[in-house]
Amino acid sequence: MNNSNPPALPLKSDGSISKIWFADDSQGVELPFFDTKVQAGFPSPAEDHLEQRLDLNTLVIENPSATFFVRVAGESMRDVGITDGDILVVDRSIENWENRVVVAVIDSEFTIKRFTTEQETVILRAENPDYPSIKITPEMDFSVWGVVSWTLKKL
Amino acid sequence: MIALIDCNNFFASCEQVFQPQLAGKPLVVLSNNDGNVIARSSEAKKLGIGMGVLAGSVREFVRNHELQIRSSNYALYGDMSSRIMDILEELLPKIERYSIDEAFADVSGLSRERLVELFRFVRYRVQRHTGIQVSIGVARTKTLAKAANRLAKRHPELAGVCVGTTTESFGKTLEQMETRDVWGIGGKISKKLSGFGIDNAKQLRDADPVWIKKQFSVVLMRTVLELRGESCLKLEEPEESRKSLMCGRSFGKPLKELEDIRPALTHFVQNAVTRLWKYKQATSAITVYLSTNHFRKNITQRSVSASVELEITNNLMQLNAAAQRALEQIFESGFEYHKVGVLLHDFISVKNIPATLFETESSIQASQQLMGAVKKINQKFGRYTVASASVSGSSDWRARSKSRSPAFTTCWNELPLVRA
Repeated sequence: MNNSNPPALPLKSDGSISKIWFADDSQGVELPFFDTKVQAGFPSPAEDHLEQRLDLNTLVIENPSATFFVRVAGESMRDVGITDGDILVVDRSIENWENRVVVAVIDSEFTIKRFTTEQETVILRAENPDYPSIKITPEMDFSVWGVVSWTLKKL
Repeated sequence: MIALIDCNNFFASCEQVFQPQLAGKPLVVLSNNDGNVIARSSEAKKLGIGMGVLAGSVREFVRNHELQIRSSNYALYGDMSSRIMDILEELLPKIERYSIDEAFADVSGLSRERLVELFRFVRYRVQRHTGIQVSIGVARTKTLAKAANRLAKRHPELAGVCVGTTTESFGKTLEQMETRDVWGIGGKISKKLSGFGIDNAKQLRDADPVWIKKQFSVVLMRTVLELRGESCLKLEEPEESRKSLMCGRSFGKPLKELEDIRPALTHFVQNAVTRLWKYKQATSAITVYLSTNHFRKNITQRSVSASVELEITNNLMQLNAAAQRALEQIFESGFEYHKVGVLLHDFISVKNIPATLFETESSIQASQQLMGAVKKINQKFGRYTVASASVSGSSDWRARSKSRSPAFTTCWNELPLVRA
């Protein structure tokens, strides 16, 4: 933010302008964020309430070093609003997987499903009747990569 | 006590986190220009593939062992490194970022049991949050922490954490350790030590420090003292106190023309200035160096540099203009140039710039805004969408990197694809 004097406009006697100086903004001075003008009248009631604009990061990212974005391919999670092309916010720091939508790795491939357990068996549920759920058996190479916390959908 | 936290097979592990099909497979990562092997997964190590071997020499493993090859992807490694360092900074009182995949931490005043507990947790946390495995060695000095870290890596029963609180506990370890494996000792010194009958780290520890200082150097004497448990190497100051930085690299193929070298130099100036801003520094001197390939015996060699002094600045345009002037000064045609680079030095912290230099301050502000905008645009549309004009033009200087994986974590167009 620059606090510079207005350019001088020396007027000739006939009213025409002889020379225009450009604003000298080289001597910039940082103004404090709460910019209060001294006024004789009633102070602006908004002054005490000035705050930073909303930053989407603060809403969707709780743990920055553990948060990753992935892009969705496929429709198996359609009924919870996750569809082809969406960007998902994945938080690896969330450790309670039960009933959450997760990015899992099954036999070296990424997949997105709802993590559930039934009698000690993990079942990854699709959220679209056209797709099967996946029962995790001991011979499968399985891990949970992260928990999906938001989906970003371009409309 | 000092801890050394070291990421296991870091570059290979970064690749595996985002490409699960590579997990558990032999995998190597190649240097810039796809020249040499610079990282190996543990499966690739088991095949006997050495560090630094030529890329061409691993072809047989591709055929017979399904060896996977990736070009280096520094956008990915850099981001994963900074995530890990952030986690360490959150959990530990004081850390020194020692390299892209190693950090020292100062953890005095804890019992052995508490240290084991703390670092098991650190290790778990880094793995859970980033997918990267680390090994941790804790001891009274940096040099011993490095030795403890080696143990943590070699003995699976330690579960990645080795704490050696007493110096005596290192006796056997040091005996089994060649001197070249001691932190800071290269092949040359190791050979010279052998000449005096000092073959392992224990013998080095028990050597007379004064004699070592006379025969070798004060640096090696410190190593001896450190092996004895006397801490000589403290944690280094954080990046803000750094006084210079360098950016440069070899070309994809030899370049003969000034106009072909310019874009490469601009690119490195851009990288250097980005880092300068990250460290909140401004500079007053810039050096440009240019050289041919010293490994090619059959060409005429040339290696030159020039420095330009400036008024304190961190303005990309100003610094690039100065760098290009320096390049013009040192360039001479008739040589096959291999490498160009830039060194920024004589730093002054942005906050220490004298208040009278208002002009400088405003130019710094303007360039900060510009750099910020450039960074945002490049993040959105891919690296080098916006660059100083001289970057565009010839791209012969760009590193060959045929099998680079996507910038999974730093570019919106290259996110990992996940099936639903």
